Amino acid sequence: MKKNAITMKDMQTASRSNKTLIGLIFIVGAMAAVSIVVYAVMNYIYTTEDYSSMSLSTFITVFSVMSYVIFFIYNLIIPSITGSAVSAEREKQTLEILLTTRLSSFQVVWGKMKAIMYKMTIYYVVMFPIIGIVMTVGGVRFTDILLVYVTIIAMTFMLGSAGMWISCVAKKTTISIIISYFVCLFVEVGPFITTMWITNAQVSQAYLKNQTPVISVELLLLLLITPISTIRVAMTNIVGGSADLRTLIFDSYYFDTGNINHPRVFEFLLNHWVILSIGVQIVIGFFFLFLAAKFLNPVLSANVKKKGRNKTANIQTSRARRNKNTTDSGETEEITSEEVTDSVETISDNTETTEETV
Amino acid sequence: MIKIENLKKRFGRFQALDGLSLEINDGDIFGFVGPNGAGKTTTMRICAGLLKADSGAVYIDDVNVLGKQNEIKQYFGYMPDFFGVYDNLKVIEYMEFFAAAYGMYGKDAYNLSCELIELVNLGDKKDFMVDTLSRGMKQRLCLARCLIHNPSLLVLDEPASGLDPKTRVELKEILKNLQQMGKTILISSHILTELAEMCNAIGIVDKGKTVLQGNIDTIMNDINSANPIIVGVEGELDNALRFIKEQVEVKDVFVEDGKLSIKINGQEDAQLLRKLIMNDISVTSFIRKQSNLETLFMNTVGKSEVVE
Ligand SMILES: Nc1ncnc2c1ncn2[C@@H]1O[C@H](COP(=O)(O)OP(=O)(O)OP(=O)(O)O)[C@@H](O)[C@H]1O
Ligand SMILES: [Mg+2]
Repeated sequence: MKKNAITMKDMQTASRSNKTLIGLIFIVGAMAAVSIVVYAVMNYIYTTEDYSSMSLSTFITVFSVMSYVIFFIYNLIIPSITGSAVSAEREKQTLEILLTTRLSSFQVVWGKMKAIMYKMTIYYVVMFPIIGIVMTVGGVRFTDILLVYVTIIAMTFMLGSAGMWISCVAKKTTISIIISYFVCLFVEVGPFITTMWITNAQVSQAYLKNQTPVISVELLLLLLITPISTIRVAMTNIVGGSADLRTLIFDSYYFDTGNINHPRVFEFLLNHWVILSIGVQIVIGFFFLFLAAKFLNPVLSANVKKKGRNKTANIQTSRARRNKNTTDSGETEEITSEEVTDSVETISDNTETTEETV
Repeated sequence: MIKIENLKKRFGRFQALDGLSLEINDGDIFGFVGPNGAGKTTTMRICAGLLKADSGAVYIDDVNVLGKQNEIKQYFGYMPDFFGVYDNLKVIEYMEFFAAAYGMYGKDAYNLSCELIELVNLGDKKDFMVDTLSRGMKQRLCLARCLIHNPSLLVLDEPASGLDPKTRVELKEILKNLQQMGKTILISSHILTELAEMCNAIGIVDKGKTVLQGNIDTIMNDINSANPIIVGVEGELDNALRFIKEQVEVKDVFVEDGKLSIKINGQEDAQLLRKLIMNDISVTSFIRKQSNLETLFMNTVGKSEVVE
């Protein structure tokens, strides 16, 4: 892969930042706590039930818990780091400087995205031993861990790009992070709720009319964007067994009794769910990344600043007033040290106001 | 040569640039002067490709580069009126990062970074964290940063603001150095005395329009030639006063602070001096009153804008 200056710089600064350390401690702590709980549950099952009665579904439950926890952690982390990615550069006033370099605006966002994916990889590697221990119980191979990694990266890419775009559009980091969390929540649960709600309605309608329910496959397409669906199916594939999308996402009952409007499409979807949803998520990711790059391109987005015109004008006048002081003290030939500090103060004041303007 | 022609930019209903034109010769240090809100930063941002102009052109050697991001990025080195520094990055790493942003990596990038850091006298701060530098140092670091791709044009937005006199002198030296290296430099500033020493050409803008521009000596001469000549004479003034009044070239004369203040056309001053001496008037001093850039600025821009 080609070197990207932004990625290198982001990794370098992140490696020195306290936030990274706190993040790592948080992740390791959370995973350790989960593995202890899982271990306790397993232990309980082993001791209370007959060993031979250990069914595959027990493992599935354990792995679902694991996958949910991993996903929950990632969903907590991604919005907070991507939501601040671009707006932090803006607040540090480095964004404009970056845009005057040879880097294109796409390279800027792509570089940031890459740094985020590297960070997520590091987090995953940190979790690796814990995941490994839990997975070994279920007879899980290395390729399975890799599969989980790929689904996680696809999710990071999609949610991260969306966050990056939000971070470009929103003026303030905090606002951008909050919106990113909402988007993340929406992507994770929105399609589930919609699909279940409509399916339910279809089924109950059919029953009311004493007909056999017909489920639309189109509804399933909506679920492709939901990373949870990907990881759940991936996990099922890893663990093996009969559970597939039918039982994981819906009450299998609907699918057993109801007719599917396009059975062959349905079969295809079920068999290629992981790869399809990863593909969809990557496409969406690139879509948002391009949106973000387009937004950042100074020559294309010149109209963005118009909205804050009135506010800017006010700030400008107060800025002008302050600048005047600076000018006065700057122009006198002999400047007392007091005046110098004074003018430095007014200037740092200025920088604050400019930040607002920007 | 860089030629900015009839640049227009509107923000909402506010016309920030209203047909601004400038001509900057190669190797100039061009002072870009104007009151707050005159449109200096806007012009510079357009030159740096950060803002789209509504109309107008920026010619570099007769090629309009406006809208051509690649050319702009190659020719212009832009230093904004803020620093833009990162936490957790050392001075040398900061430079290497920007080198990488221009596609330079490894040893080359390191060497170039060191060279530029030396050039702006920050050699001993190489391993300091960027955000711990003082204002003047940050300013110089930013200057080094915008030199990294060896641009032929430097666009510096208020590089001297907030610097103490000593640091300003240092900055001036650096800029002179850069000029000798063949760079063309456009500096905006309110500090006119600074510009007078540094620049060889200036352009004064107000309300988005160019009010006056040209070689600084020519401009100063033009202005000064309207100024009176102050003549000191030995002994009684009356005699000399009477004599001077009789001369045709003299437009007006009066006594001010024990000296004669004579209004006379620019070219005729030598002739007057000769006459005075030939008529046995002992001249102790004969100087044309010098205006500084401040007065020039006030006169062209209008007092109300600058003084409260
Ligand atoms: N992004 C913007 N949105 C709205 N108005 C703007 C914007 N940028 C600049 N302006 C307006 O354009 C005018 C020119 O601003 P500019 O920053 O170019 O002035 P300046 O000459 O650099 O002033 P200063 O000496 O204070 O730096 C100002 O009145 C300002 O309010
Ligand atoms: Mg300005």
